[in-house]
Amino acid sequence: MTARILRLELRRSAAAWLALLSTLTLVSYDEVGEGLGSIAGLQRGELLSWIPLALGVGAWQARRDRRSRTEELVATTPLPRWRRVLPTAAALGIGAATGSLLVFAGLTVYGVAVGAYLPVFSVPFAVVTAVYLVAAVWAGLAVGRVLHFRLAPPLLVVAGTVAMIMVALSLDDEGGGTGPSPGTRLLEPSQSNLGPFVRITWPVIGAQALWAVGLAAAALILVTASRSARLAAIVPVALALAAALPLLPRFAHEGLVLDPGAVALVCTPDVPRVCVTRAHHRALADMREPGREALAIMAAKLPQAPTSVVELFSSPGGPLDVPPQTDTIGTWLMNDDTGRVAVPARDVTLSLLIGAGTQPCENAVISWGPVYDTARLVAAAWLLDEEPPSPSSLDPNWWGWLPDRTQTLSAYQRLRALPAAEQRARVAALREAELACDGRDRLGILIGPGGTG
Amino acid sequence: VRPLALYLRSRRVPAAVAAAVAAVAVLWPLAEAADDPTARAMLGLLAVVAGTVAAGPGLAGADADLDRTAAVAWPPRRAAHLVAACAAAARIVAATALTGHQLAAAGRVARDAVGMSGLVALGATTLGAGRAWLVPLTWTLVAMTLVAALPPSSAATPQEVLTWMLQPADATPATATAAVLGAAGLLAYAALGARP
Repeated sequence: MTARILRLELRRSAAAWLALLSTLTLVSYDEVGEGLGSIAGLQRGELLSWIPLALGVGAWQARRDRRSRTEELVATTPLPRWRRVLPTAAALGIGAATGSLLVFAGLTVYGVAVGAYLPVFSVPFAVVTAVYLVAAVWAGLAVGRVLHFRLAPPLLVVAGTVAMIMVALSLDDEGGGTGPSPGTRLLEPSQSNLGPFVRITWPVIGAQALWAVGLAAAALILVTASRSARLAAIVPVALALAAALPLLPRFAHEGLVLDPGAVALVCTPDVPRVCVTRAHHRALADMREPGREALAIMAAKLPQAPTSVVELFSSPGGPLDVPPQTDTIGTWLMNDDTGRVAVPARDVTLSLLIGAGTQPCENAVISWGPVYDTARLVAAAWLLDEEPPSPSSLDPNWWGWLPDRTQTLSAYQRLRALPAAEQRARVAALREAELACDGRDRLGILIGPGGTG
Repeated sequence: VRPLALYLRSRRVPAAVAAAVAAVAVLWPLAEAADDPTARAMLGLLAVVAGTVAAGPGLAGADADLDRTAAVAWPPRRAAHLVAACAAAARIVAATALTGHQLAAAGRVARDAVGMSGLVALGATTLGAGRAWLVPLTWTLVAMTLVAALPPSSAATPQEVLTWMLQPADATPATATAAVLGAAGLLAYAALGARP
């Protein structure tokens, strides 16, 4: 009998609509190529929008009997309240969870098809996301039970959105005067800072799962319990908190760790080595040729040239802590949503040669301004043996930082006007200064009067 | 005056106005306290959305069949109702400017009110007046996730159209989208009325 009612409710309630609405989120996924961890994190972040919407759908569903003017009639049946509303709540919960999990499953299939990195933790992570959504739709039912005026569902959506934004804002104090966020921040439903190289620790996933289940149970009690028994909703929340808190780290950023599987290097089998991370392994095919070209150019033109190209990555919460290496060109990938490199091979070669194959020093652009980038770009242009490119000829998404062309062109011509051996010595000196990150004026090294020192 | 007052009451205008004013009353201090400009713009947008969706249930009378039997020309009246609701929603949010601390810039309020009213009207003609709120709110929330997922520099026209309500006031594609939605909603609602 109950199964029959549940089937009826699945067809008659807003459950299917809710599942359908969730699939709308598919338009906003653009990082499938970065692996499933990023996708699961993105989906969690979207709870910022989906929790309010689920609240509204729940509140809308709660008004059904009143809308059809059968509220009193239904209330006269001898069934206790929980038996009357449980099938509806179950149907809505199934709708919410199905929609969210279907989106994840669809993205997983796509990820498998394109050969993306698929870390295991993303599966329980996505399940927790679905449980949060179920809790939200039940909370909507609970609110709709109390507020039955016509405008309650839309106003609840607005209020829910405002609440989610305010909570996110009030907790968003990274880098503020208050120090790192406490670990409890990981219990904020839409909180996720998962990048391609980051995974969330198992205890934190466990804590989030307990918290989500506790919230869902509390909402279900509010929906089904009689007026006096509703206070019992505090119990699952308190229990979930008590169980989850010991699992959380002291600071939120400690819950996110570098995923060794994602940052493991995938290299070309033969020398010279060109390596990318496992998460970005699809980009290797696009990096091989430009990488080798850049290495060959450096070997031909500079002393002590690097012998391999390696993708860089930063660890969560911390700055990049890869020391500059003389035998390696470190690079950040310019990749698109499928994980392939988004720019032509020529641009990749140019980007590898910027600063004569070095990464910019920390805060150098801030302290020196565009002159710093000018010097680095001129070094690349000299290595390529062509005039520095005009920023307007390149994709502004990647090259928006390029300095003004008149600056780079005149610096390039002044470098070119020097004797050949001097040119080579000056670019080599720039490379040394960049690797050491010393305080010398880079443009002065390249074209200044006494820049060879 | 009496027929007008009765009409307004039958279309639940007092509740809609109260909801719109309450939304502004809650969101305004929050926006004043928020120092993040994106959050401020978002709260201003939400105030406009709340005001326009509050007018949604009033897009249908209590008895559609009874309305239909009346010997009056409904299309111009429906159009006037929608325009007035849109103007009222925009006014209520824009009124905060009188104090010198506006909740949202007038240009954005006007654009968002026109676009959102169009969406509410389209929602009323397709889903029914009671569910009209679903269309503007879903679009706004999906656009929010879309903007969060995209890099801030990307401002291609399709994205500006999809996220029109979150664009700055001088974005032409966004303004055009709002105008098209407003016109489409006005035409559809005036011609067809709310779905029963």
